[in-house]
Amino acid sequence: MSTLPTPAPVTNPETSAFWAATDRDVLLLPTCGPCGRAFWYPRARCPACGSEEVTWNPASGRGVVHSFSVIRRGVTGPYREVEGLVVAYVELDEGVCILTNLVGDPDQFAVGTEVEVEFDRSDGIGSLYRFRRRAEASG
Amino acid sequence: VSGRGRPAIVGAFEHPLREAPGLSISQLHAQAAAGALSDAGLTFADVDGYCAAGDAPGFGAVSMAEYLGLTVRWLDSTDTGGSANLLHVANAVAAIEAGLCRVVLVTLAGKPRTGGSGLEVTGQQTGAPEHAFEQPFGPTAASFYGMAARRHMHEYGTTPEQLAAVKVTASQHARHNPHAFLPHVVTVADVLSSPYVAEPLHRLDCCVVTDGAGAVVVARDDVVRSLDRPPVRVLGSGVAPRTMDGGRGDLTSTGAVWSGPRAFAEAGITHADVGYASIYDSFTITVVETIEDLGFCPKGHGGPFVAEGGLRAPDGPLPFNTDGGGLCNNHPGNRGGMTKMLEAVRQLRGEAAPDLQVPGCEVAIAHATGGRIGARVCSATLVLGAA
Repeated sequence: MSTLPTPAPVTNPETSAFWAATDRDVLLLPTCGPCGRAFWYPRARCPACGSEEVTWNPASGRGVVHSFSVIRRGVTGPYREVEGLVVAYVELDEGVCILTNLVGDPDQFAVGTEVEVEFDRSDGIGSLYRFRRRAEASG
Repeated sequence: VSGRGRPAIVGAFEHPLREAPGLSISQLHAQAAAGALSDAGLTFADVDGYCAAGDAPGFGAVSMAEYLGLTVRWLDSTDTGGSANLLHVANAVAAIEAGLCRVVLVTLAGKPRTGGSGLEVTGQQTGAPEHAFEQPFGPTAASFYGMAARRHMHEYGTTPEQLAAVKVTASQHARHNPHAFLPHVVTVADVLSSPYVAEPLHRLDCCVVTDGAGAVVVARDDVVRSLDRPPVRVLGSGVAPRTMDGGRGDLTSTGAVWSGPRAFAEAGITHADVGYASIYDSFTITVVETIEDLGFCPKGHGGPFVAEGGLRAPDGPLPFNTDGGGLCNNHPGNRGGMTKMLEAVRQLRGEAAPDLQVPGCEVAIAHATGGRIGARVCSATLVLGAA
């Protein structure tokens, strides 16, 4: 668990199963049946081929930092007073980049740092999947 | 290169205010509209087409058309953020050539400086399919550009000093603009010593936040030929988004990869024909990625290009943003596309600041990048020509 704000995501019928899984500490990764490709963000149709045969498998939860930015001070909403928030794209081992936060001292991260997922419960339905440096991390 | 017979920009106006606490956003739209029509030698009664994006308060462009008392038979409220007004001009040209209208007014106004940040999440954004997978993590606009900048640095070796050089050149141009919000020259050291906003971007890597307004008038050739002002012909246009592509998007490029070649091809020009370039500059990294994507230097070489004075007017290889751009002059309503067109018009009319006027400037481009290059953008390129 991080100490970051945990605003609840806005869910809808297309995404409610994804968010329910995050409350069980499971990050589901939508993957197209016909073309076999994982994609992000979660949705009920494949953006590559348009198929609605989407399977929802648990992701590895492991990946590397693709890029990140450290926000000196938040601007709006629940992050308004937060200093040093790290917003990042993490490239999962399955090959897709997902927007998230990196948890902990920003100085421990660089492009390529190996990370793994953790979950922060929100005050509604859905937990926020964030990433920490792997204990055995390289990079 | 000739655009003879094609629709042209016949009127242009940039509101002189950068802080407008005593005016409503609707008033700012109206004052800019009046300025552009007066510049053209036309009146509100001549207008039969109208375009405005999401900065226009109300029901699409309809509320502002009503407020202005316009009688229009064609309008376009398409909103692609800061590139919307260029898209509007491209669509206005097509509408005029299709016979749908003959005089199109395009307006922009906003008050992020004195009327609220403009950064609040709107209902439309909350309903966006990507919203729940991004906004709960607290990203700011600047942080998306920060992620793009860091990835560009990682892939191509671009440095903070090189990014800062974009601001330095913009500031050297802004000192010739009496209306510029930041009229003072800054150095690379000034940029690097300004506080981080979204690391690796500093405060001075960011555009200004200003109130303001602007407008252009696009007209059919018979109207163009009846007016006294030198017309600026729209020679070519291109519009293209670049998305996150299912989680495989490229943070180091923009839609300019597609919008630029299309606009150049329609105009029948090459890079060597471009005398002046207005390049969208929400952040310094925006300029570096864009000049690469437009082909003014190879991919990844934008950093050295800007650091070696590549953007300096009037004598650099690609004179840019001679008004000071969004980085130093004006970025009204957090949307910089309108002001990009306005300075390109000044250059083609020979009305830029004398020290920065490109001699014999016959072809210019205006390029804008709406959205966030660290997520999804819509790029728009116009090729403009002195008649």
